Amino acid sequence: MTVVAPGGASWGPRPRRARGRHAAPERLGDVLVEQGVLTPDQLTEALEQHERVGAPLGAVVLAKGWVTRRQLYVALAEVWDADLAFVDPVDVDEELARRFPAAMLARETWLPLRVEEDGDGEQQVVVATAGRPSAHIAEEVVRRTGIPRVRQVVTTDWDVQRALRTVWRDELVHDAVQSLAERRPDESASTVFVWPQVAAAVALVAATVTGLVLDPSLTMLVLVATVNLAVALAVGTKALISTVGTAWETVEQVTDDEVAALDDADLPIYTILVPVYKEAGIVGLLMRNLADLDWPREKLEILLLLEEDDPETLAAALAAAPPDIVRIVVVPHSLPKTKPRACNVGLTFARGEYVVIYDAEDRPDADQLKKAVVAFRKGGDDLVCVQAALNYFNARENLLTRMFTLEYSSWFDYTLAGLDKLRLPIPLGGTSNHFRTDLLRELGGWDPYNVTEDADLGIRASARGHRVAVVNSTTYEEANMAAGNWIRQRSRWIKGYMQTVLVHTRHPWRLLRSVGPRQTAGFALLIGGTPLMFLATPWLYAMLVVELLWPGALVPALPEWLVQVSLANLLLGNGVIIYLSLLAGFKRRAYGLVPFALLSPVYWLLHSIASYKALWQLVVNPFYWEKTTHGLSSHVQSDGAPAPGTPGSEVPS
Amino acid sequence: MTAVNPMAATRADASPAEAASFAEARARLATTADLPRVRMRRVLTTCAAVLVVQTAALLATDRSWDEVLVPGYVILMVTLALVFVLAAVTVAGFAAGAAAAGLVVLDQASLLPLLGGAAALALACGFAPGWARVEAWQATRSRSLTAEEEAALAQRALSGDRSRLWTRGVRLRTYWRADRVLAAFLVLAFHPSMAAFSLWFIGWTSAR
Repeated sequence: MTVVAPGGASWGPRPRRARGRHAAPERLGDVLVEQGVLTPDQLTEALEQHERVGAPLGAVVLAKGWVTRRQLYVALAEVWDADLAFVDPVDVDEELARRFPAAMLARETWLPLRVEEDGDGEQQVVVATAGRPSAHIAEEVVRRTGIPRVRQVVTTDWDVQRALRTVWRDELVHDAVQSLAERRPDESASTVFVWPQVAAAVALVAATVTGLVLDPSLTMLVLVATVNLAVALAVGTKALISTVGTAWETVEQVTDDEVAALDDADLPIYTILVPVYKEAGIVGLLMRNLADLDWPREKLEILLLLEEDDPETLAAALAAAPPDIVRIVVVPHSLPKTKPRACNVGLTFARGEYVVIYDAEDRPDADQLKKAVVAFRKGGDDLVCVQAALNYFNARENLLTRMFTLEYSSWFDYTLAGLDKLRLPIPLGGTSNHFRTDLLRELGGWDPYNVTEDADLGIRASARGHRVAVVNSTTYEEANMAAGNWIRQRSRWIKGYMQTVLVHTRHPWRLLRSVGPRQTAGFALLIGGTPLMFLATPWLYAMLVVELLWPGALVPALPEWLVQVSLANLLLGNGVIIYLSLLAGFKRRAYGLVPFALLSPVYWLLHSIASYKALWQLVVNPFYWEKTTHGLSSHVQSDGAPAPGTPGSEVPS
Repeated sequence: MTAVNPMAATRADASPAEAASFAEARARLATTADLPRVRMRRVLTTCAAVLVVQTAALLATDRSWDEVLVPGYVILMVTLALVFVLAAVTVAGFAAGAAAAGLVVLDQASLLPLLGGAAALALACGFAPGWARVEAWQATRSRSLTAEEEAALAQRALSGDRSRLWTRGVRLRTYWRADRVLAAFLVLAFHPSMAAFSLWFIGWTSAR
């Protein structure tokens, strides 16, 4: 089909017959039946489904598995009266390709192939499109090449994406890694410390050393008092926020009635990003976990993001022959090798109006996507993200999983709910955060240099005037059940919090002006206060031990009132920690976990160990992604996943 | 044929179909169950009004601050403990415990009677239908899977069919729950215990 752009252009063959609103699907159906791909009964059923869910007929028959992608596009080419081409990436003219941005091509699913001479000896650009040939494509080609003649051929969307990943590889990687750092360097963690922060730190250390030399008692007093004040404020803030969240424990942001009122025909396409690294057999697990999602399959797009240097997982994924709604995207190798980098590549290819991230082991509530959509529709245009709660399916596996579950319950069920009620910035959790795709792209996606890219994105969204909310739906994950593994994971999270604080306090006045004083205080005390609390706790314990073993030993260096205040602070802090953990068991009525809340102070000492590791790494290896091993739980192993110790059983994330 | 009693326990050797039937019945019950709604705003407003009147009256009669605070704490403790027991509002339990801690700090109540009272209230929580209703309501909204349920789920494949109701084999319980009693006791007893321990600790360290 040759299309010549407006201003001198021809438009290829006219449609062979007038087409009404539903003419194209019927025509496509006729072609599929004529070709013997579809039976008349299947066509009738598919047309009914097409009317019911409002998805294109091609998507319906693909989702039902009645046709292959190739068969569908053969038929579509006939319907659209265009030639069909199966694109090999080596056929793409790279010089021509460089004139077109990969992100636009990925969104619109077409690509330029080559420049050739037509029958009249005129130059024409050959374009392969996975959609209906259109004037828009022709205009875009003319605008970028200056060649007025455009021939559009049809190819499969997978061919387009494969060619994009191959030919536009460098651009894709560059965009995924450097886009935020280049467009908004102030919001990227690619620079760990900016010079005012370094200067402030140096000045602080110099002042402390000078003070210790000139007046040690006063300096110690100031230091210990400051730490105590900060810890007390951080603990108090967390207690206040969580208590506010507790007061709304039976409030549903989205009700079952609102979900039931949704019409499938009005639902948009939803993209699920599933980043995976070194986990053979993940496709089977993924399919089982997402099997019950209540969403029309025709409007669901699952992008399985695999890494280029992980051929075992790729081979296993291909061998598993996932259904057509699952698309495998191989993320080109580059550094830093982080989950947000893979997600940014996935975001480039996402076609959904909304996008959500799940880990392969995640088990979301069946109605989570619908609840998220209702929340978005109720939430207004500034709502960029809806965070579902996370909890653990292996809570009772050992002591660590119990403590972890209590902590997660406290955080997601009460603290985030409290933040939402108080309209404070919400640091997002690792998965199950649902985004409006366009706003997420506008925000710059995830920061691949931040090892808690999710928390950073939540704060960045707030700083840019958007809103993050929580929704009453849960995704169940696997709780970390080994102490060493837990410390690795936690050190990454705490390091990410430190990165996030460093990024968003580069311009404190700007932050204050953009989000307001209450939100700034909430951010500083919750995100900044959390690592500080963990770092300070061992010192408060040390003071306690010294005071218990050698009463009065600290008094020469510190006034007695300050020693008492420090001990009281430690006592109060631990009381609050236990209090929050006691609360945590109630939201989900997991009373069996509640007595374990009394062990929280011990559990939180583990946080202190992780926080010092995080602090060290922040200085020496800030972008290093501490890998967490998943698949250790017996709950996962019983699913047929490989047992620990077997190849592919360790899944870093 | 006898209708399935959704509050009855599922037999250990129940077939998958039977378990699914129980789960659906339970889910229906939970979906339609009325939450024991308490208008907390009204409770707190009434409490505040009573406290203001009481404080003003006592201050007008030249009572000490301790004498003013004690009845206030008692009013809060009793009211919020009742809300906690009867309406299963978690935060009310913590507030009741905090009020009890206030009495300990003012040296107006010793720990043991308070713990005794907490134990009695916790036992009441063990029987209170309000708690069972909240649990039933909660059960269909979010609950992790048991290993058996996961195994059943694992046998299902992603297909074109969708289940609107994710029947997850909700475990059936009677009203009484011992773990609920223990959890309720911890909630009610934590604050006064913490206050008593803190007072003892401060006294002990300063007396050394």
